[in-house]
Amino acid sequence: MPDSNLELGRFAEPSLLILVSLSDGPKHGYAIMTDVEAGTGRPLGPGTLYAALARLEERGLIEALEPVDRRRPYRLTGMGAAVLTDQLASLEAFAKLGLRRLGAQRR
Amino acid sequence: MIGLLLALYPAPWRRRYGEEFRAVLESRPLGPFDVADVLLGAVDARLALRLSDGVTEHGGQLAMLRIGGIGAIVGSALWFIGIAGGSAADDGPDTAWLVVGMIGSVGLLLALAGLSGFQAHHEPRLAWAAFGIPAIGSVLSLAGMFGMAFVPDEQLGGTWSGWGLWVLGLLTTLIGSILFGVATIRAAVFSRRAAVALAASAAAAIVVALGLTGGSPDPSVARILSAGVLAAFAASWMALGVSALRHGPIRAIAAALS
Repeated sequence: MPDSNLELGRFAEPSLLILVSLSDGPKHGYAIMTDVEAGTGRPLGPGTLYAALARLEERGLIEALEPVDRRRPYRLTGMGAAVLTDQLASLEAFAKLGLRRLGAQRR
Repeated sequence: MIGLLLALYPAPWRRRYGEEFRAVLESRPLGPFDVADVLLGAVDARLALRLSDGVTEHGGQLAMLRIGGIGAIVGSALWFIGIAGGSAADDGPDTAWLVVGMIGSVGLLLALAGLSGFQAHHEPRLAWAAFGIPAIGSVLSLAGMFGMAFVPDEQLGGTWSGWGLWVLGLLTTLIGSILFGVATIRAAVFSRRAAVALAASAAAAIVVALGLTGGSPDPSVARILSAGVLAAFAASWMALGVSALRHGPIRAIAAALS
C-alpha cells in the first residue's frame, strides 16, 4: 500500500494533476502545462508547476529524463503510479459517496 | 523580464531547473497570472531551500542513514555469499567463505545501527528490541564464524562449538529481524514492502530451520529450501537498504524533525 500522506501542502492538487498528466507517458514542463490546461480548463502556472515537480521528484514519485533541447521530460516512477492509483481510488470512492448522498436527498 | 524572474530563484534551484524553466517561460507570452505565479514560486523555492538548510544540520543522521543503507546492501550480500559458499563444501566451510560471512555480519550490524535510529521516535521499546536482538544475534554469529575459522572447538571452552554459536546467532538474528521488520513497518520511514518481506522471510527461515531439525529430509531438498529462504532474507535486507538510500532521507529527516 503506497503512502499517500506525502505532505505536499498547497501543491497537493497541482501534484495530482501532474501525476495524471504523466500517467500516459513522459512529458516536459510545457507539455504538462498545456495537457493540464486542456484536461481541466484551468491554467497551471509555471511557478506552481516547477514547485510541484520539485516536490514530486524529491519524493521519488517522478523522475527526470535526459533533456532534449533544454526541455527535460519527466516520467512517473513505480511508486508514483502506485500513489496516483491510491489517490484516484480515494477520490472515486469520495465522489461516489457524494453522488449517492445527493441522490438520496433529491428523492 | 524572464532573466529577472529567474534571478529571483535561489542559485541551487536555478542550477537544477533553470534551463528547462527558462524554456517553459519562453514557450508562450507571459501574462500577469504567470508573472505572479513565478514570483510565488520563487518565494516557495527560497523557503524550501531554508528548510533543506535545516536538513543539512542533521548531517549526522544522514550519514547514519547512508551507513545503514550501504551496510544493509553490502552486508546482506556478503553474508549470504559467505553462507552459500561455506555450505557448498561437503567437508565443512572454507576459511575464506567464513571471512566473507564475518564481513557480511559486520555489515548487518552497521545496517542495524544506522537504520534503527530512525525508529526510536515512534516506539522506543520495539525499536530497542528490534535493534538489540538481531545485533546480539549478529555478534554471536560473528563469534561462531570466527571460532569455526580460527579456533579449534576444544579451545572454545564449555559446551559450545563455533558451529553451535553460529546457529544460535543465526536464529537470534532471524527472530530479531522479524522485530526489525515490524518496527520498520510501524515507523513508516523506509519501504514497507521491504520490511514486510524481511519479517516474512525471517519467519520462513525459522520455520525451515525448525522443520529441518525436526525431520530428516533429502539433503538436496534441505539445501535448496535453506538457500531459498536465506536468499530471500538477504534480498529483503538489500531492498531495505536501497529504500533507505533512495527514498529514506526525506522521510527520515522529517521523522527526526517531528
